[in-house]
Amino acid sequence: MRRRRQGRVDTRSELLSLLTEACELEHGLACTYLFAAFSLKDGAQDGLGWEDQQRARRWAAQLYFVASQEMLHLAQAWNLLAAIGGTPYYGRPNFPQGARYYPLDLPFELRPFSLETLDRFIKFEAPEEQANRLRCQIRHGAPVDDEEFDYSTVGELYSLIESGFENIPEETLFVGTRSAQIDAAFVHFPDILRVVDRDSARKAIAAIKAQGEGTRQDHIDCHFGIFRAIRDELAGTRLPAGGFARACAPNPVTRARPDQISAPSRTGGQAVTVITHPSSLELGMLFDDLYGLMLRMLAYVFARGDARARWLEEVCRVAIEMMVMCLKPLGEALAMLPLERPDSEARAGAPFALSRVVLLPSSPATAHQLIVERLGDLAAVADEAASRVGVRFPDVGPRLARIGPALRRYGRMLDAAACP
Amino acid sequence: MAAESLGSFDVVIVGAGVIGGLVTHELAKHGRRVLMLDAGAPLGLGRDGDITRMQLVGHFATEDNRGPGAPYRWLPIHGPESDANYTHAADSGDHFKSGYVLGAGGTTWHWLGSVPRMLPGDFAMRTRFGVGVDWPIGYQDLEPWYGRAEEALGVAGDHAGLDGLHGAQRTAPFPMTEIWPSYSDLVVERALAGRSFEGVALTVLRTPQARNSRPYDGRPACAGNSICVPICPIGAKYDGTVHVKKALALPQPARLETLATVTRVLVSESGVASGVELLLNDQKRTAEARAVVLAAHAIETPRLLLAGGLANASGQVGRNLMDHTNRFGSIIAREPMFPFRGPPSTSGIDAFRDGAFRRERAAFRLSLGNDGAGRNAPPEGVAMRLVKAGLLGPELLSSIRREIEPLFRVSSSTEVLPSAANGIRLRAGEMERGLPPFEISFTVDDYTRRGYLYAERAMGAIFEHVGSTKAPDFDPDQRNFSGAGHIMGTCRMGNSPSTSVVDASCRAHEHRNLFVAGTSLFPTGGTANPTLTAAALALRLAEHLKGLFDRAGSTGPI
Repeated sequence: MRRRRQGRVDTRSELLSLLTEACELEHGLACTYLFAAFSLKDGAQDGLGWEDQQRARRWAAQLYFVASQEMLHLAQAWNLLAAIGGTPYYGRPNFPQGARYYPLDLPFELRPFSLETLDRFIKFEAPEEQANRLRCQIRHGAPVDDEEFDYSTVGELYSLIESGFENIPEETLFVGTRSAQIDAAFVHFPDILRVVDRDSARKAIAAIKAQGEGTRQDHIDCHFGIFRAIRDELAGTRLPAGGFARACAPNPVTRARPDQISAPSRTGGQAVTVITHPSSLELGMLFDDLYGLMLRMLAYVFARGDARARWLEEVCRVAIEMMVMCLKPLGEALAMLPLERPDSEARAGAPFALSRVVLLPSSPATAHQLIVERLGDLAAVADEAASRVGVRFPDVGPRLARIGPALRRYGRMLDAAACP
Repeated sequence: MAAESLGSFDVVIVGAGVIGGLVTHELAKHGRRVLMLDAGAPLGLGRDGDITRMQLVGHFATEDNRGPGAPYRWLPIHGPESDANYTHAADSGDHFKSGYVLGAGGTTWHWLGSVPRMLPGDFAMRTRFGVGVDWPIGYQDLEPWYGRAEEALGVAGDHAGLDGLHGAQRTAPFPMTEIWPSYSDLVVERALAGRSFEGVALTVLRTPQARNSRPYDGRPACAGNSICVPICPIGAKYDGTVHVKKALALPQPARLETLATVTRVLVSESGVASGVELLLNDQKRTAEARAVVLAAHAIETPRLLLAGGLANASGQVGRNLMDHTNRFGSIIAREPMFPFRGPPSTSGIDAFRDGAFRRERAAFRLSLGNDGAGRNAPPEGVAMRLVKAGLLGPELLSSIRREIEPLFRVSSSTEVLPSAANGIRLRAGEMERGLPPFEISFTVDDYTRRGYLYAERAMGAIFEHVGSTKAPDFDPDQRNFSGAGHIMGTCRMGNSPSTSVVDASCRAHEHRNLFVAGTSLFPTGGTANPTLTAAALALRLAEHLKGLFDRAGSTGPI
């Protein structure tokens, strides 16, 4: 095994590996933040008084905002990857992962909103100068299994990445197709930056770090500051009966893989919790299917950015809209539905499970057919689930009713966009 | 017995809204002793005993009438909300329909937050188009201050898209990228791509907004609550409390007194201001100052000057009252527009804001709505109609959705030229908080009406391109309009003491240490929502005052 100097990246392979890892992290963080946001109660039906309802909604909105910026960071990391010859990567290990899976020394878990959850979020996003310096080392998988890098915050990971962009000669590093870079004119991420040279890479990384941990002058207007402010407010607020969050199961799954510990009654460790209530199970599977499709579509757009076709723009628009119109209401509904029995307090939650990374075929015509076909299939599932679950659980009915029609509309939008 | 004094200050600022807050913060930061006085309540400043934002939101939530004044109506002193709260003069051809909020933070509590810049042509209406008057300064004079104001207020916008608009160059980017366009913006943008109306391209531009697209200045990003008017529940939209709070938090903080109505500016026989007289909790008080800045919006500022007979050799105090006239058009679109996700308006069409046509008819700006049919059919009205029709529960919910989701509106905001006949005048009657009552005369002329009727035809073309299931809904009464809340004029700036109230530095022609800040300074109103221009002028005034103080030594009037 070859030991690398810490804090310095020298080869394209190392840089590709770390950027891929950054993609995993950004993606995983978005899911954990969303899960916490879904778990927040939001109305009188949850037993919250007026002021607590306002608080919970404000916190949820901020968590959604941070999650949306993590999706931006994922997209930005894809642009960084594309600039140096990589391809967009949306895979990540399924939840939960132990503290030692990444060098962050923090577990990657789906847990409802709480002080402890916020503490974990704060550590993820901590400024480098404040970071816990406890290190652990990780051996990366093939093809770069001889490399080791340390970082204890997301910001430190990006500093490592930045060192790669600084150390590798610019004229050899940027081999990606310039026209493939996705910018704000194409995708509705107004802050996304094209990466075509060292300077633009620096700016992109600086923007990600500033949004996450802040700058040396400002640790308030960033994810770290947001989480800290929410934590302070939560700690200083008298908890309403039953708390602000629903009792969502940690790391819910629709089925446990053989390597996962299935422990519905356990709340500690990295065990998964199997959703057994049929309604929740049905919606959990729909959630995962939609989530996977959305990611495949987004990754396809970033892999084919040079095409610049209106159809491709529409694919991107649909993928982003799916997050708001489908995944958010489904995630919120799952946090309201029972885990096992309707009479127990335990609620389910969005599983965010990725079965496998399967890229869409590069041919637009074939990709179009697959996407539209899948949208149609899932629309039918969503309609059926809405009618069945909505009747049984009227509180979640309105959240579900719009999903099927939205998916069908997306199919029509893509058809109308004339696939090249 | 002499009124008790609050003390001696470098500056007394009358009004603790956005403009008073900005000037106060700048001067206090510069080491000046500043007293800020506001007739209204202490709103949302985070101090013990202050009225909280949450309280205001709570009042809004429980109001049946959800107009701009809904969160503030319960306050003992809150300011006029609409034309119903004004006395109109017998010669008033129309009603003046825009109100304002008294209290810390001022009217920005219920503003929309749209902050386009004025255009070069707006500053030179007489020279370029033979109507209105010219400003004593031009766009280029104000351009750097626009940049600073955008930084101070926290404006999210599309720099590249707006740079050079009708000749308005931008030298600094916005501090934040634009707020995401609403879903309907994208639908409309697509429908209008490559389209024009009478030779003018219908280009959709993102509206710059004093609303956070990311965490900024310690305030959160916009969460799309969609109730910016009448109140942002989370403080993502800028309001005047931001700089009032900053001024109070400085190492040498400014002092703020609320429920403090200034009744008189104290002026010596030689015309030098020495302070103000005020009612503080109904007790007469004074405050001495080396300079006085009136930042009490475009109605209370001239009212105070008229009450004291000050700065009015030109006879222009209180005259030239302006607003933008708003007209709405709405449709039931063929596809869902999903309104109310995000701010009420995030894009607009700026193509009609300038051009040779301004010799004949008024310019206007079109706002694309994200609020259903807007004022044509507010959602609570739709809900009440359905309830009265007997719908309840899920059926009511789905009917509301079905009716509201395809609604889409466009509104025009049309220029009103200055007119000496339009304005506020003191009238006989019982004193109100130590100030004489006033009446308003306001008549919209044919120049403006030609403008908004033309705008209506442009809206019709837009609706045709977007596609609707039935004919667009326009107000059939062509004389009718809504107020935009853009109260301007009444103490206009100019080079000549015979035709204006203050000079180009905002100093009263007749009183060397009496200054006016805010939209009352505007000689003409253009088509831009006025707050950013007023903020730019306020920062420019603050810089000017700093220089005057630095040169004036440590005592005496500046």
